[in-house]
Amino acid sequence: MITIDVRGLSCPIPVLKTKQAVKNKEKNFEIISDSNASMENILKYLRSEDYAFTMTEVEDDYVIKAKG
Amino acid sequence: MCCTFINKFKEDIGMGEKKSIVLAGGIVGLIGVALVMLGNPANMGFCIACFLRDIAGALGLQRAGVVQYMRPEIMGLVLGSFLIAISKKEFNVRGGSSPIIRFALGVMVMIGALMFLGCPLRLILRLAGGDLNAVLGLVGFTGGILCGIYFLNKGFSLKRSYKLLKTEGIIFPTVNLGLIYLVVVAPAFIFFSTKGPGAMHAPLLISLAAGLIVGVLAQRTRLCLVGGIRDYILFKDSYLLLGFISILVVTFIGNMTFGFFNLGFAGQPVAHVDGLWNFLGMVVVGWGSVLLGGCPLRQLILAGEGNTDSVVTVLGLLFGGAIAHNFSLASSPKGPSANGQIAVIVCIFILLFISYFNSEFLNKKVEVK
Repeated sequence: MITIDVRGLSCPIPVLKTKQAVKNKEKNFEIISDSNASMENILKYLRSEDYAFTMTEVEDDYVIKAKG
Repeated sequence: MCCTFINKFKEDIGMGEKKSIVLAGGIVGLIGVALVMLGNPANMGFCIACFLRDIAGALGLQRAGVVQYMRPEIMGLVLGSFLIAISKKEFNVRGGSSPIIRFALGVMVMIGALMFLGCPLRLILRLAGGDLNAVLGLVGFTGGILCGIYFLNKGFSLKRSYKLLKTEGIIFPTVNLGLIYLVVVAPAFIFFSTKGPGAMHAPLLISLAAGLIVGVLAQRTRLCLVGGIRDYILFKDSYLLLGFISILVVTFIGNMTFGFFNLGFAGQPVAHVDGLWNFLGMVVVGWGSVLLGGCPLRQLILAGEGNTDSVVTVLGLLFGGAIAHNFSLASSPKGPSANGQIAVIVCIFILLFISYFNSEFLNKKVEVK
């Protein structure tokens, strides 16, 4: 499983990196984000691509696990 | 550490999200029309670029006598965002993501905006007022966004920002309180235009309240006028675009209702008819804003939320506003200046260099990690 660390990256790079993982046909991956706005946008994108996901808060970060 | 699948939940709030951005855009449009009725220049209820340039004038950083006023809308936007971010626990102080490049991008976005005579928000207000010159601006803006997207897809990044101390993030909102103090007390060293667009303004408290309301709405909805077109092209995501369209439609209806609508190219308020330079000016604004991750309005909102990279960007915009007038780069209703034309071309080359050297062209494949 790959991990995509998007902490501290400006809009829309977090979603773009998620999109690249989806386009690379990754079925199982994890995204670490540290901003509400990024996290919301990533979840919205995963939903539009019919990925299932879980989200956990670990300290100040959001950890999103996506399954295609 | 409990995990729950929240797809369904997110689907449920998806519609609510869309309603709130449409509503927020509508309120921004209404406030834009109201500010013009109450004294702001026509099609300039809000213009982040013009207002920061006016503040540069009020502080004496530029001495163009007709564009000097400490626009309280700007302070309202920053403080509205700051207060709502604090109350929603989203005041998140960070910085360190290529601050000098961001400063330079801020300067260039301002030079482009003052070539066109408006930021992306005023682009919408001009369109809604029937100013057809803004159509060429919109085409240029979209072209600039496409240039930015090309490099984003090639791995463009200004690298990460990092957590900083709360004090670092509180400085900028505090400075804005200080600016409100200066506009209220109006000491002799602050310049106020007596004629021209700088002398046209809504009453102070109304301008401040308008800024506060829009600041809160823009913080909650993440309203971003470059993000609308960008996200639609990149992800087929229409969320932010709905905000853009909502501002356009409501302002159009407001302008029709109150007789501000005036279709045509010539004689438009605070605008010129040189199509090529309206186009190229907005190419710089669109491209620079995509590289920055948000339009000038969004930069002010992020600055209020504790993003010190956006504070640096706003300082770049302010500095750009100062030099645009000191070096005669800004257009006037008569048209663009020769210096401004040279500056815009130089900006396009600098944008190309920044875009290229911050992308991942040397890697064969753009890394996902």
